[in-house]
Amino acid sequence: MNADELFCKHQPALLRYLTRYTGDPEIAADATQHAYLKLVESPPRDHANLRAWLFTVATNVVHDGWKHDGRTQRLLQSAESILEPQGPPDPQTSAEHADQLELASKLLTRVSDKERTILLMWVEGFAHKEIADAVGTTTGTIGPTIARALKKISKQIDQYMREDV
Amino acid sequence: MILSTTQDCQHVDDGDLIRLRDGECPLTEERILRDHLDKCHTCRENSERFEQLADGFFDAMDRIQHPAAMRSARQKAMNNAPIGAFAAGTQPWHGHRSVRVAAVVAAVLALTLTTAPARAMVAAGWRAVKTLFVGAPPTMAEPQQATSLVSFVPQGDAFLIDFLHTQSRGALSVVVDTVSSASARVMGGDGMDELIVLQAGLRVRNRTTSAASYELRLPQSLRAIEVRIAGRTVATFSTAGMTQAARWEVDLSNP
Repeated sequence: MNADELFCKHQPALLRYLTRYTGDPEIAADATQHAYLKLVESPPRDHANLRAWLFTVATNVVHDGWKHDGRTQRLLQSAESILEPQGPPDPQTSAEHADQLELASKLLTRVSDKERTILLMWVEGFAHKEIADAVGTTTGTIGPTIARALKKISKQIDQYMREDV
Repeated sequence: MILSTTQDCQHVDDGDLIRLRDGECPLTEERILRDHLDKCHTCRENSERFEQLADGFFDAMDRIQHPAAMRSARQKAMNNAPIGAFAAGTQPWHGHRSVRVAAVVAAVLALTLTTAPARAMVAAGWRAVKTLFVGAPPTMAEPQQATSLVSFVPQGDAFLIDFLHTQSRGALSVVVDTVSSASARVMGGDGMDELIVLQAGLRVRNRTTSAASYELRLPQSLRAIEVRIAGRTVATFSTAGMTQAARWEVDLSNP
């Protein structure tokens, strides 16, 4: 399987994760393309954990920001032709998505970047070891971090509900 | 594993409840923790609260997709649906009303950490609340709205099909024959079922209220298939010495 096929296999999950992580579909799409470029230019030695590698790279892209020099712009344009075309959203999708992103931002307001990464990789079905490797921690800390983050989110929702009342 | 000490009773650490839920504990540790949960009402209650909170969070996240994926899923559902399945006024399950439902349900779940009456209400009313806002889930007799196909690579000569939760309805069909390819088909009742491919097997992150069927086609080189639901082995099939096609059915509502 070549890089394009490998990437296309993981692209939907990566887009979903980044949309939840950033709350911005455009940033999610950009970061996904940067992850693709990274895969083409400096692929990992071992493809066994490619999915975790892509998520780690994309998360770092979001954290670090990225510089658009001329070469990167050309590569990104090339990547757009390979990746799944996005096209303009239909009106129903836009309305749904606005609600969903609002929910995401509310749910994830109180958790740290690291907790958000762990929670969202957990939702994507990664094993605790894969998550630990991605965020640079030990496997044993993932369970407690998830539990702590869930409690934070729970309190956050409770607060929103009280404010609404 | 940490059993934190509170006065004269040792309780299971929150993180270990998550590890147990995710199947991350070694077998020996899992047995110790499950034995403790069987005996300790406080820990069992805490475990159930985390389970509900996690489900609420997963449900909320399930509804947050990239716009392209949402459009694609809708188009796919429309293409697969029989004529009339999307009659006027019928909303798909992932419609935006359900986003509000996720928020409401999650908010209700939030109360479970603080008040006993709320805990009782949630325990009894989870399905009722969901049904109230989004309508009843489709029954097995209704046309399926979407299907998806994933491929996987079984390791060795045994295969584990691991359902994380029990569910109210649905059936699993396991087929092994001479022409099987390694694939799985999910016919989603509400589009929230998720197949996760692991090295040791196939994990299905199903929901308690989903009414999905699963059809698996496995390579003949397998020697054993184990079906596990919520951590308990409910069926084991041996394919050793098999000379012709075989099919097994597992009723997921009655593990």
